[in-house]
Amino acid sequence: MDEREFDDFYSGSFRRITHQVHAMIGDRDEAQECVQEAFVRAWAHRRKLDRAEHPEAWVRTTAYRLAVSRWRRTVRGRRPADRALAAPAATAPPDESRVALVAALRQLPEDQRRALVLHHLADLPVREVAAEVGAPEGTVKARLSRGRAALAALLTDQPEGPTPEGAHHA
Amino acid sequence: MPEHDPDSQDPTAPGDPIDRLAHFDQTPGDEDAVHPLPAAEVRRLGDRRRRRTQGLVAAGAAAAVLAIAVPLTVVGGGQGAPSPAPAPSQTPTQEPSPDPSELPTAADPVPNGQIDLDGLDLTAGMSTNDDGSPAQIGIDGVGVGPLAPCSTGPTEPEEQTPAEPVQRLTAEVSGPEYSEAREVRVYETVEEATAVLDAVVADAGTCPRQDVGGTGWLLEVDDGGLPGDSRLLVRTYEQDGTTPPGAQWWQLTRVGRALVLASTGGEFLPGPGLEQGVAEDTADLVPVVETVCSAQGGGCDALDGDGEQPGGSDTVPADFLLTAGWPDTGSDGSVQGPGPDVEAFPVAACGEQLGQPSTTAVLTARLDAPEDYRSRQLLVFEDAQRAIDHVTDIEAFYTACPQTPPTAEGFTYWEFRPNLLGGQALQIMGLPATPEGAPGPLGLQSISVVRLGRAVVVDQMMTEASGFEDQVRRTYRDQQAALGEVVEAMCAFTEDGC
Repeated sequence: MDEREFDDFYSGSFRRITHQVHAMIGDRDEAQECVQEAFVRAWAHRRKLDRAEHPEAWVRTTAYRLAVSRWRRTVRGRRPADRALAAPAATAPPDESRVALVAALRQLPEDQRRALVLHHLADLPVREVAAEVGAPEGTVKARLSRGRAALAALLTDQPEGPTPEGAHHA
Repeated sequence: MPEHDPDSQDPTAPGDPIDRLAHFDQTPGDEDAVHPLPAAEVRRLGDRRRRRTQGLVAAGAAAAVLAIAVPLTVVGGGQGAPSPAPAPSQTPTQEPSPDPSELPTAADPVPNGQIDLDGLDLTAGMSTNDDGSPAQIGIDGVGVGPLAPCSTGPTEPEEQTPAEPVQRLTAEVSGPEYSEAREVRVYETVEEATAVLDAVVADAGTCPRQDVGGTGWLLEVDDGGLPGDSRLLVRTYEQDGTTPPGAQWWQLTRVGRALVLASTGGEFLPGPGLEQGVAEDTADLVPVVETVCSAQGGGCDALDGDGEQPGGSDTVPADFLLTAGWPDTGSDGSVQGPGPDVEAFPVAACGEQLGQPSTTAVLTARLDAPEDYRSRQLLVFEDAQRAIDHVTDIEAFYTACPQTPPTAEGFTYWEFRPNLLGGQALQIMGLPATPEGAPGPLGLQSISVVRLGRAVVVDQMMTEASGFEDQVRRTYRDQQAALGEVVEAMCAFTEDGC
């Protein structure tokens, strides 16, 4: 993968992967940081990326693993609540429906949330979801089924009030 | 549209939660909320990371600094020692593109801290798939899966190891009553590989017996009988006081910074049949392990041990680049050191200071200039574990103080950001805030901590920058860029390359 190919890959997929990781972990800023770091690693490991069947899956998996590592979970979980106030105010206020969806996703078990995002947002077939998460297809189908039911219940019960993104972490 | 799960609800139904999820990335105005770095900057950071993981490329430079290496106690000679000239001024935000000679080329034999596994027959002795096809070797396959011996289901463990391999090689076969998988994971450092193996073995020790649906799951941990640091985990079952057929075992072996992992499951009857299966599997794995040893530049005997890599040194080179990347202060400021007696900024928060650790060597430099105060301290520990502990202590110290007590002027809160310079590294930003929590106008602090082997560098900056995100990011990037040279220099004596 040469510079031009990488730049095209980066510009064409950064936002998409960031949205997917955001949905998986529930924190947009952290998703962006992890995806950013994953792309840095992707360029550093570009020969591995060349051999990967799905470079975008490689970046997404790397970013996700970064986000769920114990270190990040421990540290970010204790982030002061004031951070939301101190974040740059240049961005538009979050869409309420999205905030409610993120809040509901964050209440799902991690494996269900990841399966839902990969299948319904990243548009991967069950077979590819299974390959990416390292689980049998039947397990993935079960996670999807339970995840859909739980998500529907959560969104039915939950008023769509705004919750400041970034104030919590999965 | 992919082949969807047949149980899926109609994704087009209005208000359907799945529809909302499917359109998660199409929120109007959301594009303004994502601010990727320029692609060239990503490549620059990737190149820097790659150079670091490949070690100090310039063997000549390493030889030069080692040739004049002297014990640290001699370095600087105390207060009266002359200070080295400050490093040339840099403006990292306008750092030029990497020198093309530094970029990897097609001639590079092995990238990114990886090892050359071209000669490895990972599938030696493995069965075939149920349809007769042989095991396929991949770099991103399932492999042995999550290393969670106490897990009784396919769900991934809640906590994952923070260490991520820089290289994987996988192979799997399966049939109706058996499955085999092998995997080689190569980590950036011996310590990371050791930590992963130790964590798995420790985890296995917590579940010698689990009751799953009326069946007892038994797990035994034993020496693996393979070269290197080798462990064998064997799971059998117990039902109604009998031992039904069925067993799974894992061979987990660390050689150098690589783990050779194998998992076998089948309808083995505990006893001689199981023992024979393990013995045959072990014999098949010996050449695999030996090849992985050779790929790291030595036999397994040379790599086996306590994690210390060859080439480490107790000394810090006399011309260690501790002030690399610092600006020229001119007549308005001063640089002290590097030297063993220069006073560093303490690691401080909430009115408390983290105590100075016990080290075998310390080298410190300090810059004092109007609106720019910096200190860098290189700490060399007796062993890697003590260095790891110190970084952990720093992390815990700031985690315990999420923000300073508020005053009429405001407060500072600490935020962790990614540090791209090391396998174990911290980047802590002390963000000034007004009493109301908005970004404060000045007083940004930035602390970067990187560990390589037994050495830790603690880099601190206190500037008049504000807590607004653009200035925070600029400071963060400046610090990462400047400290990169120091980290590369650390590779010369802390480890045999990085």
